[in-house]
Amino acid sequence: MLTVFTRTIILYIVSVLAIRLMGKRQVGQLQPYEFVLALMIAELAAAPMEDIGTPLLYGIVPILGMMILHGLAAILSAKFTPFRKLLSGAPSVVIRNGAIQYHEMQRLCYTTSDLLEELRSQGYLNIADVYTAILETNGKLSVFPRGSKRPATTEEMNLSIPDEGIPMTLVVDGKIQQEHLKKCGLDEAWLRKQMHAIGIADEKTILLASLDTQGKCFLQEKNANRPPLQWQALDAKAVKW
Amino acid sequence: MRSMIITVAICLVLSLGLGVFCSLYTRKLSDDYQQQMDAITSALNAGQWKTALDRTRNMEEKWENHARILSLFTDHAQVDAVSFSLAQLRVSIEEMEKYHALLYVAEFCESLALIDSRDAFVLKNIL
Repeated sequence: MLTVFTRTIILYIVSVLAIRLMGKRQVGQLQPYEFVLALMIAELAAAPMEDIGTPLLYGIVPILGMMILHGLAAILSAKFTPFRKLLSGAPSVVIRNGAIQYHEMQRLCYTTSDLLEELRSQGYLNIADVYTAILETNGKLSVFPRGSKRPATTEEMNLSIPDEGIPMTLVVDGKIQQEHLKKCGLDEAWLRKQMHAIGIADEKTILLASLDTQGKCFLQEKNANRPPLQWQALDAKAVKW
Repeated sequence: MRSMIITVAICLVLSLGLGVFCSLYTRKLSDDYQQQMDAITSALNAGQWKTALDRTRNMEEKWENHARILSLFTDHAQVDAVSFSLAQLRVSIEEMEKYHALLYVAEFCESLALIDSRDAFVLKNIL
């Protein structure tokens, strides 16, 4: 029984490594060949897990083979567009200029019910509100509403809003993120001064503290009784990242 | 892209290297044991029971180590079949049953040859 348990751990680690080495796309939305790959890896790992008469290598080597094939497919897809089209297909426009492309949908075996279902799941109850819809190669529908039906942008409202960069987490689960402090051009002394100003003595009591590109700091303590705090910790012009 | 190419290259080298090693190992093992079995057969035909028994026991000891390595890349049932036939051969020689002993020699050789042929990179195995 211990043998089965150990084999399970080994094959799980190998499977996770294989999926991770295949890149983030594997974790996100899958292309058809990636979906097949994920299924096959699961099957290949499961067989030697429970049958101790089967060598472990009978599971690991096929997974290695899958990784090689996926790697080759990914490299060739990146280098050659025709190969990418062959493997993943091409996106299809199913609504163009507000009109449903019936022949295209027939070619894809994509019914009107499928289309309406997808539109509803993305928050579009009325098909008349949609100007463009593209069926991506991974089966996801990308929907773009009519200009009059989408939220106004700040540019259209003649508002000047600064661009927002990535906020830097300074404290996570009670641990000071030294690397992020360095990227912000700040140090631990500055952080402790800010903490002292709002009455916090120990960073271990902090659940999360982050600094955005406008110089505003957000802080929440682990103590659920205290609400999150926000204050202007830095001048926006002093932001360096 | 670069890391993907490196990963593919490493996996390819590992897989091919492992495949070649397994193939060569089983082939060598099969040839070595075949020779030893020929020697045991000669001893049996000549009625040299003690010689045959000593050689068989010697083979059993060697087989224990080889079986451990073979089990890494061969179905355990196939490796067990070889071990069984070797044990049966030893008992037959101890009991001085010539024809049973020769039968188990043939069984041993056949089981080992099966491991080698199942591992071979041929169309029959691929299909």
